[in-house]
Amino acid sequence: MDDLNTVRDLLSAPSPSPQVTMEGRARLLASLGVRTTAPNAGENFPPATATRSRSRRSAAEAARRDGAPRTARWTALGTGLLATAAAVTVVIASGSAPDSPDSITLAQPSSASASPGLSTRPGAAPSARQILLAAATSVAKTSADGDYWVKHVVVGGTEPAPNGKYRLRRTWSQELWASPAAGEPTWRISQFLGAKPAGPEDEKAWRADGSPKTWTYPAKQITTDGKSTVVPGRTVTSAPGAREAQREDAGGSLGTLAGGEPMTPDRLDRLPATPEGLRDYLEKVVEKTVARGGMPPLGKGENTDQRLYDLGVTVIMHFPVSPQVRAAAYRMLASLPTVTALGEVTDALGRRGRAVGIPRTAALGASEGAERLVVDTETGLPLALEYTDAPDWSRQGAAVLFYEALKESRWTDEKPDLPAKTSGPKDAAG
Amino acid sequence: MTVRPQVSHLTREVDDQEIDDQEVDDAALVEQSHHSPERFAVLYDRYFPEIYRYVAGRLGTQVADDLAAETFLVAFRKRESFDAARGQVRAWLYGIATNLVAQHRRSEARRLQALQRTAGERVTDSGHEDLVAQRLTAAAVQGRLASALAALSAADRDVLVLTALAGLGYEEIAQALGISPGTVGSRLFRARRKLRDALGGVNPMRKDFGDADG
Repeated sequence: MDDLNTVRDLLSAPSPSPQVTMEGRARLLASLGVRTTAPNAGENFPPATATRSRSRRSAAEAARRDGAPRTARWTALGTGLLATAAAVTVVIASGSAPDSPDSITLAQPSSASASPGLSTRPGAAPSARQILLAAATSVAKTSADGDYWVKHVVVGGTEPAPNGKYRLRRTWSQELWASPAAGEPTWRISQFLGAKPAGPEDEKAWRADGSPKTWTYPAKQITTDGKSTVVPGRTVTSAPGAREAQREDAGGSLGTLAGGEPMTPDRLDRLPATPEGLRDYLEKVVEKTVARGGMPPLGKGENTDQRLYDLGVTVIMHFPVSPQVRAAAYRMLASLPTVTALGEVTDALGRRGRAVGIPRTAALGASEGAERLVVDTETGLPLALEYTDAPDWSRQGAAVLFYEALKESRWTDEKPDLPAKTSGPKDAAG
Repeated sequence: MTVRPQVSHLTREVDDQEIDDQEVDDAALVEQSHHSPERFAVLYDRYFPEIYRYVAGRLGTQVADDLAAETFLVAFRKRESFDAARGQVRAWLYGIATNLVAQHRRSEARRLQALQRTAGERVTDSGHEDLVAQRLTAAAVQGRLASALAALSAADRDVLVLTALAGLGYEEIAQALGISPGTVGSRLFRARRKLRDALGGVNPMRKDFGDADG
């Protein structure tokens, strides 16, 4: 069974009736003479963005007028950072989250952990909980000073070559530069980094195949609801593409949480900086998402751990949160009993780190794939999120099928290195 | 970015007086519509049926009756913004349709809920035992699939449905949604991984991961 065909079948809809087609055509023809470029709800950018950025900008300007020091990132961080971190440590050490049904799990890793009997014995592999708590401590010490928050991710995906003889890995570089300063636009810079054989075996097969530098996938025909559509062919190159920058208004969403909540700087500012607070917040996000139909309700015997894990990882990996919030997210993950240590690994960019993961329950059917979060134990920074299609990472030959590797995720005084060609709303600079 | 085969034909001179509409390419039609707006109707005739089925697949036919036509009105109004060097008309239209769908998330949630329910109800009126069993299995799969689709984030669902229903590739979806192909890849991967979970033990990645990209 092919999941894409199944989706196609499920969502198959009838062709439009002749009447609907004619009415639509008449509407179009009626509007053809009109040459207005009135703003319309169907434009590429959410109409709310402009308004939001204006209010954001004026708020920032007001703050500046008031002589407020460059308030920490989206609001106030910086001073008191270490004090907060210490306080957080105490909360965790006491293992308290009295109103949380899972609070006991803060105390000890449960027997569900993959490596039972982990202890603080020297030489023993650290548990997921130990890795995550250590990462929290380290990451809480990172700096939140700088003009820009920069996130630089390298994304890699593996797919069969057109002739199916070996696997190709394509990679992209994606940078996100966001500034809390008034009127500074957000920049997204992306670049295709090229394609090459995915691993040593693939490289052998690729050489045997004549070491091609480009790969062409032929056009193909797909049938939807009895109607065929020809999908044009495409060519993949080993050569990298140009860097392309897209400009966005300041203050807009820097990503979404659970596909619903747009995480604007305002929202990011309000994220709780304690593991309990963050857990409560994320539980509410899950509830809200379920209520609006964006997630199925919890099944029998299912708890929210997997969902909290996904959201926590998203906060750590993708959002410009304060070091305290990042630390809180790590501590929240450390409190989930089924999170498992997956050993010391080398990530897709060749960096050493420790991996953790969460087993997916069989509530919706057992999964054959697995993912892991790789953490730099020294800095506490997340290195990569990697996926395999092997049943689990301990399986021999479990290869990374897809990854998002963080090259940078920090505050900096550097400026984005913009390519000559940029796109986006021209008035973004205000 | 990879090669965009659509670009080359733009250099070709197109004389719409002599060439039948069937042979005029999409980008040229958009170009011509700047001077002769009625040329845009050729695009309507060409793509209305599939855009309709896409919108109807996501929001149901009632909403599609209105929204599919709206897609072309929006496209016509913003035809100045279509940049042939950056992609193709078909993907551009799907992008506009997807933006319109995004304003009807409630309808989409309702439709997916309805699909979960009807998947269970479809089997009740059947008589023959084997047939019932067969349909139950199919219905269970469809119900789980509908709930898995509902569980996806809107961004992941957009990419998945554009792949499954419109057959768009990474670069085309990237163009349609104004995101990078890498983002398309990660969203598609996440989405299919969750579907695979929902369908239970089926591994779409192994066999046709590359296919999703075609």
